Amino acid sequence: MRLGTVIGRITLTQKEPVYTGGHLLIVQPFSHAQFAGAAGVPLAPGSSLVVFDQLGAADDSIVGFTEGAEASQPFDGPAPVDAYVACIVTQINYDPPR
Amino acid sequence: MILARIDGTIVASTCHPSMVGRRTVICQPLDEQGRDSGTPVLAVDPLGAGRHQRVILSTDGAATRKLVGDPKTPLRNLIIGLVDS
Repeated sequence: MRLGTVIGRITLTQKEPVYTGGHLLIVQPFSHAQFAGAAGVPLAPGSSLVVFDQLGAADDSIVGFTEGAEASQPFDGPAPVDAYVACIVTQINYDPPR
Repeated sequence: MILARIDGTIVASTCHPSMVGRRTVICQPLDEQGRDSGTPVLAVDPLGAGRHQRVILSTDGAATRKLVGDPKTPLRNLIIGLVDS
């Protein structure tokens, strides 16, 4: 699981039935500097990804998302999902050794 | 399995039901020299690892599903050992 910031969302007109009841978010994974709370860190180009969300994360919120086979585990049947919002983060206590 | 160091914790307001009541920590993967390797990842910590403790991190989803007792959990990373030396 990684942390990322919600930077946008995607709306579909035609979609897999399994996507009903959720949203597709564009999420920018955290860099080292963002973990440390640095403000105004520019987004790294090309590294954002689309993440399926059933929790209702808002724009600019920080989410924990899981990738790979585990991302499709929460669904009843096979689901074409390889990134899934597992939690909406309200507080980060990050304290690396100096 | 990955060698990592506990660099923090997170608090989540809303989460998958399988995460409720579980400690989630920020883990910094380490290389063989003990230096930081890559960006930090999140893991479930059933062992209660301390700050800056070195741990062994499992990335096996099946083991994590067994631990949390929920076959539908999206969790994968799990702290499975505390490193003494």
